Amino acid sequence: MAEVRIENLVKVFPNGTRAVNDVSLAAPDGEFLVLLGPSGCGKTTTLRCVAGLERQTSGDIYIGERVVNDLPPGERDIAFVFQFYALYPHLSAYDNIAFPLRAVGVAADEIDRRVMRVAETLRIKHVLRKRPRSMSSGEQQRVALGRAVIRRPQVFLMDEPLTNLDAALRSDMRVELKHLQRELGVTTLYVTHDQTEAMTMGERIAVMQLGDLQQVGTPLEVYQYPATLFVASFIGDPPMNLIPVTLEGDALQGASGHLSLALAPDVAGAIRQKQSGPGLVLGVRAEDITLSGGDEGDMRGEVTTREPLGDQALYSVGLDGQFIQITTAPTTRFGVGDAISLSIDRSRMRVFDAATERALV
Amino acid sequence: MSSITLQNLTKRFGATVAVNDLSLHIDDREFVVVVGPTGAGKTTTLRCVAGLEKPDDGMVLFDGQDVRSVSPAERDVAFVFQNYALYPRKTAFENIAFPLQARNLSAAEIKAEVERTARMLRIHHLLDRRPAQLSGGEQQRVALGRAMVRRPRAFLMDEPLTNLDFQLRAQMRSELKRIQRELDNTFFYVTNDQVEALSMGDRIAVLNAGTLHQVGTPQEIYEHPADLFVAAFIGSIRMNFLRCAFIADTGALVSADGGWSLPAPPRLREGAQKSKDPGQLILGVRPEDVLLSTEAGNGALEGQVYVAEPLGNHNVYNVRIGPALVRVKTPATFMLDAEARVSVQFNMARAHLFDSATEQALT
Repeated sequence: MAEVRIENLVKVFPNGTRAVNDVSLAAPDGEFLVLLGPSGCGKTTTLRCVAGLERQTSGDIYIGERVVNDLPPGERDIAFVFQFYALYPHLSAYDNIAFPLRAVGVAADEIDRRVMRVAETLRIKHVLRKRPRSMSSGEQQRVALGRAVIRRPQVFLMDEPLTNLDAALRSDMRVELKHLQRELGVTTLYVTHDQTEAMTMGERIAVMQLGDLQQVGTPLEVYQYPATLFVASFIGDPPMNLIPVTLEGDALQGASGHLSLALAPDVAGAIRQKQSGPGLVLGVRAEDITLSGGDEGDMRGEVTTREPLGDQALYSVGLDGQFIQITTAPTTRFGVGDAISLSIDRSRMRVFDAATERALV
Repeated sequence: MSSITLQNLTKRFGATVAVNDLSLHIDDREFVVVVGPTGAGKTTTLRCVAGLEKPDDGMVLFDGQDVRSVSPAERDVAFVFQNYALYPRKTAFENIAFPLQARNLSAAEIKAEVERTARMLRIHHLLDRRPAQLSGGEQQRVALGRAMVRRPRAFLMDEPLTNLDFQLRAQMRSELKRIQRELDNTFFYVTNDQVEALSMGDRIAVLNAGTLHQVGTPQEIYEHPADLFVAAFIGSIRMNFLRCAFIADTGALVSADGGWSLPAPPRLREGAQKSKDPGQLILGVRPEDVLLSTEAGNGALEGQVYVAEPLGNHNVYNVRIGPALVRVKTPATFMLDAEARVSVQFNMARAHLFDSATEQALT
């Protein structure tokens, strides 16, 4: 078990693509750190550099106190998990889990000790003699997980291991993997493009885009206090509403007068002091807007769509050529075409600089 | 604009029954979503409607007319796929205008029609661009525009949003719903994504392994699932299922491992009595119908937090109650320590009861 530290990592591919651009990042011993971003953001390249599958152009990688830049993958004491493979149908759960240890010639009593320990953590001791066919699907998943983690490396590196599973299995595996990681206490770097996986599994999330590290923080930090417009648009389901505004006096004004948001003087002052130009972007989450039928409120608009999602309703309201999304309790019943007012929870909104794309308040 | 009726539709591929005796009626101008996992028979159903597959049994009717002898082209339906094959060398305008070229329209008429369509799709500022200069969502809209200018009698859509990233998918969901209403045409849409089904469909048909499980409005399907499959498939956080037995003498539901006993309200009691085997029931509780507290409550079950999942706008706690793992949705502000001991209450007024053997809902 060890800390993983990446310092000023740069990776330029022979074709000139700058996949990773001066990224510095550390996962303390035992942490579950998620690298999150869309395809092409550099998250997998970063992971592959840590694994030793790619040689970085510059920068250093530490595992524990050791610089591992020049070590081949086999000497870095890491386990790379691409996906949780199907079990061997002709082997018992025990033999499935023991497989990776037998393959490298670990002694039988050591294998037994480790299999029992993993089986205990995963609550599958009672199925160790069974073959996959006679286990429930939940038991099969946990056996597959056990096999993936039976080697006890310093670090797990996981690259979208849940991607090919169906939705129900994926959410079960998320829960079991998170629990197992905490029990084992092995530092884990986990790459995904799925913000739900990142939010639910990561102790911290590192958000990347186009090779740059945008923000590192706990799930709630990146959700509530996105540092950049990109993070705001990438984290959260639905994503944060981003509305172009300008500061007039102490109020944020939308393009056409349908939005007017009075701010506390100190907040307005802070924006004025930090802004690089007149263009601002108001960021507000769908659950931080309240709808009402009256004409009080910060914005007025018309309901474009209402989507019932079972445990909540998602409204879309047209405002100056864009759509604002609002989530409410499933019982609200505004109809399409209804004129409504929107009130914004000022304690939970963000204001970004449109030019630098960074959060101001 | 047509109604579409599937009457006892069956389609086999060799020994595999892809669609099994499916009957479903889609009203003129209705948005019906067929939802189910891979292999449910969704695409095959749609291809039978389009005339691309020939049913082995049963038939397809448009406005009550059997279309068995009508060729795919003459069926006059637009088929929109996840892979929108646009002409790469043509501009968005030319792509959308393409189906109109074959008709006897003046250039001015074509221009007017393309621009009207592009405005509805909000891509009128992109008409000069070629596909490579458009985002995935914009390309999808161009493909839709090309289908729209034909003014077909119905739109058949096969997972058109699958290849978009989730932010764009969410945006396109509400856009498609708006477009359907503005076009005022029939949409027959298939997807494996239950969120798309709930959010877009006037009605939803849940299909699995070729068999229709339930048809209803989103609210009906969510609040009154007809069987275990529908209950498990619909809902962003899966419904909890707890094996239990109904004890007629005490009117209580007792868990299969004997770890808990809960009084059954009249609705559940009546349901339990409908079962041939009240000793083998499944209690279904949605994650938002479970209440957690750190204080011991009257009649509450004892549990322990196994894994917490913060999602920003809410939390999901996975709580162990004996051998079972129960998913609980809480407000984002409700914070518990890892492995905290909690008391758990089910909102029995909203709970469901299923028969283990038939898997049918009893409530």
